[in-house]
Amino acid sequence: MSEMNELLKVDHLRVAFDSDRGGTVGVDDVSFRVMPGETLAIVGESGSGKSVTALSIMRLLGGNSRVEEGRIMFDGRDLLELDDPGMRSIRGNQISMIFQEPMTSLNPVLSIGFQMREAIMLHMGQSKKEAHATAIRMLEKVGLPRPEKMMNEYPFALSGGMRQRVMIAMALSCKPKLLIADEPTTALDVTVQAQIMTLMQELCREAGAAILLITHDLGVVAEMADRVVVMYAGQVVEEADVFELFEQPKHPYTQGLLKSIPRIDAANDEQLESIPGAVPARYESIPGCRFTNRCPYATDRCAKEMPLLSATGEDHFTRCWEVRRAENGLREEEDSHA
Amino acid sequence: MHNPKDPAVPLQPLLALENLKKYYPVRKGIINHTVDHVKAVDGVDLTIYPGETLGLVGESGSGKSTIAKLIVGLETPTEGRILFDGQDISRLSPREMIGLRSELQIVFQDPYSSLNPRKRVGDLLAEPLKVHRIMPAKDISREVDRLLELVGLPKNSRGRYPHEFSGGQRQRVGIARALSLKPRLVVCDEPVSALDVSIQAQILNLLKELQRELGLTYLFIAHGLGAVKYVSDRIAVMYSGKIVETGKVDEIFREPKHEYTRTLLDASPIADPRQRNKRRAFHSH
Repeated sequence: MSEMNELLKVDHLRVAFDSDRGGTVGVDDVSFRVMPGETLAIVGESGSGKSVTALSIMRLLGGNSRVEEGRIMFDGRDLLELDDPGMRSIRGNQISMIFQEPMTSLNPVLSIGFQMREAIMLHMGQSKKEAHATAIRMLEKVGLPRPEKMMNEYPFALSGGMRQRVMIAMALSCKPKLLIADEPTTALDVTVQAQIMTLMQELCREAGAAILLITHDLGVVAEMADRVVVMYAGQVVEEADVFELFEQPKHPYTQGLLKSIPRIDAANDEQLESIPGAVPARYESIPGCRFTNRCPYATDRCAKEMPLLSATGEDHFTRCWEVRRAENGLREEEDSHA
Repeated sequence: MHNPKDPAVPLQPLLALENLKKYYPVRKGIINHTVDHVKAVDGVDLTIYPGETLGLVGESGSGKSTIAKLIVGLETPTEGRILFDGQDISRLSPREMIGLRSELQIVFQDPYSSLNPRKRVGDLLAEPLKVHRIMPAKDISREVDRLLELVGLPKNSRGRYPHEFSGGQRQRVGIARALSLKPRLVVCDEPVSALDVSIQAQILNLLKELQRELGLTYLFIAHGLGAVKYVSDRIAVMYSGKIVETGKVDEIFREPKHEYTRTLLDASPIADPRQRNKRRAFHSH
């Protein structure tokens, strides 16, 4: 796919935090692209840096953290170079975001209608009356009953699923090109999750918006994503098409992760393989691959030298010395046969 | 009912819930009069046989955690009986409950809040042994080592505090503590929900291993169907305070009979993108 088409391109992003014990690097060398209209999932465990990446794109990082390196190109502009008014015209307009707990992202003392109108008037330049009509139309779209009445409700009166529907209505009312959804259904029951995910995808497809879905749930990834970025300890370790990733995962971490999920369609006697150990503390000071201590294939080189994310197939990227060695070995073999 | 491990031998249930109810009053007004009840558990019958794992699934608010609390005596039922080994334990005095503690233990969801942060792991594990006077004081140290080894923690863990451990290790401490009194029934209330995916499998495998080794009986409560399927022999599905379906694991997953069970199964994401198209039809809102 050509460089010109991509909607979002994150390039060698590095984010550092100030903590009591000095500076630490939360996200390091993160690169990926989102094409218009596609769903890209970033999957990783807690602390892997997936939310930090999302917040960096929105320029919503807290005061104790900063982007040290990299570019975030959106529609041809580097978001990191924009001034605050410039960023405000992108945020909520071109890129919208929904969060895990809609209760904390809605203002508890303002009615749903007020909050929706406010956003629409600000971003779309509509009059109060127009914004009111738009808001009602959006609430109807996300399947909320009696949208006129819903406008006068306050967030506490709504269930978690209804609140997330309101957030989706609000996020999509300004016709963004990209919707960033950070664990949008983690706080919801599984039956509600299925409804919300489908709704989000349908509405985005209809509006031509791309989705950047941040999640820890590989089941959700399998259901929703076109492409997947796997993060581990602050880095991207693998990126591939969703079918390819689930059928032929290359990074040992991705392989381990896929083997360790209990599936409802598994055979009864199937044993789960778990990844031994845990994510190392203060992984940013590890010179080599950050998965070395848990990896069944680790070599001396892995512990000493950091592998780069490199092409290991068509539109498939992996950060692993051993995968690269295997691929190169194959290629050399093919060459010698030729 | 027959022994799930050996169908030829009929079994006495280790635990039986009979018409169990727990209503919480809803109070209103200045005199705080009761205007209504929340029926958290509303007439539940359930049996667990020795050596089996009964999975209890349901969504938040369905009453599954209330059942856990009722069984271990953290709540008193409004109505109904809880028979442990044939004896009604639902209204025991705190003193009587102490004796039962060594038979009946619980592992909680959140290992962060269920361990005293000011005690070293060695003391956390030794405490129940001392309280229940399980063994002479001189043997306790060796027993703590044995427990640590049992759950796969290094021996030097005993001098460390809970915050020095990762979530998965902390859950191992929680399990070691529950097992220290050699209970017959362990209630696992969402034991892996707070853990990362790669750690969940470690804990699920540990629970299965320990069951084989020690002949434990589990009530395994969770909302994630995958985990429940992996560890359970039988499953009970709970919906708004009632059990709507029980059955053997493969029967429930192959032929769910109750409408709600079907809804739950259809909504649970499967980690296989090839299966999504045939499932799409259901997910309309």
